[in-house]
Amino acid sequence: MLRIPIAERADWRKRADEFGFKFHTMYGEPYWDETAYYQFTLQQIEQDIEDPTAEIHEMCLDVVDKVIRSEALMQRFCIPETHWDFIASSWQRKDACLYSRLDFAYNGKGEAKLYENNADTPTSLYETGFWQWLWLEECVNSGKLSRQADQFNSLQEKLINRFVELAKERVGSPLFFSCSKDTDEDRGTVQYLQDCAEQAGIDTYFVYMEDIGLSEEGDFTDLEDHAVRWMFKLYPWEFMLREEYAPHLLDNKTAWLEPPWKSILSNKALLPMLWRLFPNHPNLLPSYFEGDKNIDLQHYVVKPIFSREGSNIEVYQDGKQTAIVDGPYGEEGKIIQGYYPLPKFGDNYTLIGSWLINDEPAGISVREDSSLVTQDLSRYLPHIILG
Amino acid sequence: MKRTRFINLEVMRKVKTFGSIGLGTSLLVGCSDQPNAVVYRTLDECKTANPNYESQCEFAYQRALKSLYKTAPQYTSLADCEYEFGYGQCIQHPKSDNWIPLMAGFALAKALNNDRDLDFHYSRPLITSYSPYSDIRDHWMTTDGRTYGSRYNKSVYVAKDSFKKEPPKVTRTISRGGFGSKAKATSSWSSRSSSSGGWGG
Repeated sequence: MLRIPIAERADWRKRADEFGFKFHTMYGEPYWDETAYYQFTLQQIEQDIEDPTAEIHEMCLDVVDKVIRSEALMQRFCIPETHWDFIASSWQRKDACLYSRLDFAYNGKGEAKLYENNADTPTSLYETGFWQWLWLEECVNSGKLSRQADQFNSLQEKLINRFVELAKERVGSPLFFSCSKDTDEDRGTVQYLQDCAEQAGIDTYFVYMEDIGLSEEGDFTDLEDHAVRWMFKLYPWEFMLREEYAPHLLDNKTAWLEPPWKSILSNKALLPMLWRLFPNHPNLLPSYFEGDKNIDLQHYVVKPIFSREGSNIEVYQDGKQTAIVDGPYGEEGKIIQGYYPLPKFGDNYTLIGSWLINDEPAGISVREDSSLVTQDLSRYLPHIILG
Repeated sequence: MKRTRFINLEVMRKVKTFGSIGLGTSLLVGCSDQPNAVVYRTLDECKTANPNYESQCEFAYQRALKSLYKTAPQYTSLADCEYEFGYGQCIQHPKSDNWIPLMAGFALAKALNNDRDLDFHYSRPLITSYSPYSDIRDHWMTTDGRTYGSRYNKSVYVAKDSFKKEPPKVTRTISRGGFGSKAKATSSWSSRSSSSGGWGG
């Protein structure tokens, strides 16, 4: 695993305009960064990332199966009691899912260690499935990169195939897409999924989460009073279960992507549960619930059960707090995870996001940050496989 | 190969560059297929042909126009758009600053079980080109890039999946805004309040 500087494509910003990639620069800082790329060997990709990704996904599904059968665990996972049946029946019906992203600390040698599972609302999908694919294509065509260069990235192909499968279950049904307002990044991600669904022959519609309505009959509606019967939402279940319309989820027949059972996987309580069920697994970091007995960690990280993008994280070394990131989360309890710093390449800390479409590993994204905790402001770098 | 084998870049493109639309990238529909749609160049043409269905024509026309704004190829410059579609054939998109071709007509599907009746729920915008530089000059084309023969044809065969179905409607929406409050509460706390950030992770 190498970090190799490369000249930017001279016209990439123009290309980004053409393809509607609007969030390559965020908060005035570069987000898409093609001044360098990461290079992996095929063996690193397949043995160290792809295989563990499939295995951990299976382990996560085992956790869901355990949690939905136990009231005590549903409580630990902060699932509102009113919605226990809603979530359990979604699991028992085997409601279809679309995608997830596992985040790993990996430095090219040894085991990739799981940081967390973004199973409900993962982003950086467009950059991965399409934009870094295009980067490789154009760098190879212009002779900047070898024809032998490949990429671990069959995301777009697998996404379209997955939509084709999902459409077979609901022939002719329109699929509504949603995310919250005022974020180019989320809207861009959702638009990409819409494009993939359209290519799979599905009619797609869009409505913002804030604009969703409720009909007399209990259907959710878009702004044109269409009944929403099938919806992809880039919006966390942990919010939806606590908002005004939460009770209406119960008596309503909308099929959701991601399905309600994903609320258990997008929750950091997953990490201590994985460690309980699969102790000392080589790809796991020791993890505990706050208040567990026999926590034997000198260096550890405290994370809220609900949090995104590195908010509210505290780092302790030799029992002393050495770093803290503020944020709005943490009311619902915290977990403790063994400290395992991200590998450093030059001045950058590097995090690998490993994608699954349904249960198949489908590619990776590489993000860099100048601090140890990866946040929204991290930069996205492309990667290749060579050798 | 560990990556996606092929991506159709034309489909992924949000803003067109001149010369990017052409017969080469379109799906040509076989001539042997029976016409299954009728084309009207204007709303009046539809009303004249269907005297008892004026409001249905209006509905179908508005639907096609809405779909045009959503799906038409967009150009950042008027010159690029006119290069493709001809002088005076482009308008500014009402929401973005980009340029799009005019709706040259709209197609109405014939009812499935009765060849004489039209299904006013299934309408699609059609565009065409008057530009000597364009491959699609004087052809009907849907906004997904499929061409349907000469612009002088009044009935055409349109692939079935070209008509987007209207989802079922409810009688009345009684409230709105029951989702989204947590995102607002959490982001207004955030130090990056100006941009608020997404809820993805």
